[in-house]
Amino acid sequence: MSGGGADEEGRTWSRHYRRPYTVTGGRTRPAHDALELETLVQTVTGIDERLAGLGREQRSIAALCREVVSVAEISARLDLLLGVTRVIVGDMALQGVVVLYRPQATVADADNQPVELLERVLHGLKNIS
Amino acid sequence: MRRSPSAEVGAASATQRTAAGGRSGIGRLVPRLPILGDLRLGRRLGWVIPVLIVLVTAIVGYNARAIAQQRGSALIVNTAARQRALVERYTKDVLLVVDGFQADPEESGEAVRQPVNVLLDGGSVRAPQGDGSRVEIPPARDWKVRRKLEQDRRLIDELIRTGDRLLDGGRAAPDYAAGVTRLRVLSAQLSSVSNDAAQEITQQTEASLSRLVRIEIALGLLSVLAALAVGLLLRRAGAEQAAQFRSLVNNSSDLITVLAPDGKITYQSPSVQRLLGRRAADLVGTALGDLVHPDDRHDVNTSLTRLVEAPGATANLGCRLQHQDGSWRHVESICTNLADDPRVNGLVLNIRDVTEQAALRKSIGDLLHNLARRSQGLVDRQLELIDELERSEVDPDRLDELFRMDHLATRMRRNVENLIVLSGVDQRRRWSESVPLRDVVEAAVAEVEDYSRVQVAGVHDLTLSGQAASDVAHLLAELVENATSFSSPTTRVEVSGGPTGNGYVLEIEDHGIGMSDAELAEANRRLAEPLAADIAVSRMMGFHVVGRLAARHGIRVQLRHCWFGGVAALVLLPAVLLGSAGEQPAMAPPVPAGVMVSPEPLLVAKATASGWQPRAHLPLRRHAAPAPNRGGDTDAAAGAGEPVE
Repeated sequence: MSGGGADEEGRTWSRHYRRPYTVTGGRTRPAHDALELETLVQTVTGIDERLAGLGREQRSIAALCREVVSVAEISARLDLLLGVTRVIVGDMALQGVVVLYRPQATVADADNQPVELLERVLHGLKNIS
Repeated sequence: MRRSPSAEVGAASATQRTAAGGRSGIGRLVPRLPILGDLRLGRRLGWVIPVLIVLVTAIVGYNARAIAQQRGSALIVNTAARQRALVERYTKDVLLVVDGFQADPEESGEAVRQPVNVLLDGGSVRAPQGDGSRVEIPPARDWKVRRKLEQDRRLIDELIRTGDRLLDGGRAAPDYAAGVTRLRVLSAQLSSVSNDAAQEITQQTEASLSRLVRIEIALGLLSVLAALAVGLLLRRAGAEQAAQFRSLVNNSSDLITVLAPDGKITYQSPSVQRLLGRRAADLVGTALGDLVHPDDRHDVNTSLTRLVEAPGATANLGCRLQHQDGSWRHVESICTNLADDPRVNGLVLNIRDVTEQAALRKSIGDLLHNLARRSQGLVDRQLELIDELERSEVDPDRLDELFRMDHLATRMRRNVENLIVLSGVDQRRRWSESVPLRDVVEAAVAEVEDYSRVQVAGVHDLTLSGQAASDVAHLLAELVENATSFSSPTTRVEVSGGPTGNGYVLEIEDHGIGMSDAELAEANRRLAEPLAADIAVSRMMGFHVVGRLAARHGIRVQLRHCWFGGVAALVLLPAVLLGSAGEQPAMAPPVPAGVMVSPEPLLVAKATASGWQPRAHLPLRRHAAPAPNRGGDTDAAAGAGEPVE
């Protein structure tokens, strides 16, 4: 309850006071409808000069996605809500800052290649940790 | 000693009136109090003054009458004496004519009659001064005098009849010798009667004169007595009045202190014994500053120094003074500079004990603080819960609902924390680590109802002391809230920032209808003097909170007109609150506590070294268009951190 207690819990001021809804202006629905947890994201190469006009989360995502990263991973790495990450990534995809890759294996045809999917998940989990 | 609220109000308004009088605080106070005494004095003197007037009038009247009588009686005596001579002359005239000589007994006969007639019936006689004027003589009133005079008149009639007979008969008449004898006898009788009459008149006059003198002496004595009485009464009333005023000054709970311009006490009312347990005589010559609580000394000195420079000005002052026993008494003081009044020649302080009010205010503040702290704990837990729910929520609709709840709870937290600020209890959350300034601005935006209209543009990569972070966030939130609520819902509110010579300025601009000059001045006054809490607080609570928060951290806030019609709020964060975010890349994810902490506040010198040009004032800047067209000054800031949209 007290400030000291909050500190002991390791909560920083920013986590305490910044609220996630401001990042997207309150939007929760991605503008891009092909965004799943495992959708892969990659920043378009040579886009650096356009980053200046982007917001801080967008720039962090663009920096992170120089390699191909999944939406779930972005969320975990940047400590962003999944819902918020999807909205931002969707916007960036529409702006042409990032490109999206649908994974070869989706949940729908998981029956065909369950091992590969599980490996991907495992890989993703390792990345997060 | 508990005073009733109405007495309280009365006293307050009285002091206010005195303060409003301004130019002659105590000079006005002193003559005002004895007015009651004057009235009482007038009533008591009421009977003495008419008596005195009557006495004086009587003395003057009697004097006038005495002079007139004196003059009249001199005439009367003179007239009586002349009559004898006239009788002699008539007798001689008759005898001369009878003896064949030339004479006019007719005329001298008339002359003989005249004085008696005048004395008896009144009339005018020639004034004895011989200047030709005539003096009126009243008819004789005294019966003895009248009898003598009537006898006189009868004898004169007889004398003249005898004389006529002698004149008719001549020497040849048989009764000539008897007639002459009769004439002489009558003449002698007349002489004697006239003498008697003159003597009688003289006696009467003397008696009345001595009566006059006695009356005059009596009147004079009475006047002296009356004058003495008046003097005594005046003296007593004066003493009473002085005692009354002294007891007012002595027994009032208010202190009156006169300070020399150097802060030394030159006069101290004795009621200081009651308030501070000190003797007035001991305090004279000592500095007032010695009694003031060390924490308040600076403010008191500042106020008094400012007052010394403005003769005739009045200032309000609140501080703590030390009692003889070491405890502190809260006082409020109205200070008036009467240095140009030769009777006072110093600063007059009307000091009132408000320790009880201060205690009451503190207990209300504590109550408010406790309640707010509990609510704060609950809201914090609610927010933590919402955090958890949001973290695992994938469904956009449910996340939207959670966001609404989150927003409401965040606003509630802001209100609760503002209440803690208003409670005046200086016990805030201590966040040890520095916080990125951008996070603070974003936190502020999150606390505003209409947050989606707010655009944060170009806040530099700086950190803000963790101690001030929450307060600055709430301060900004109030200003942003004010901007959004006084502008059209279709317009944006922009928050931007820029370095200045002595800190960092955040600017909040709206595109609303703006404020009138008077409103703006009032808001700025409220921002500058957050301690002057009053009834209007609830109406302008936002500004009040802002003022309080700003005062806590030495932040300056000012509102001003925008050239395009809205209002711009400028918030100057002092350099001591700020630190540079160092080389932290703008795109790095939030780092754990401790990594970004600057051990000591980084001052502007550092910022300047990294390329900032100190500027006297931040011009209105528009950040609607992003970075490329920004001026050189902000490009140069890239070393310390570049503006982020």
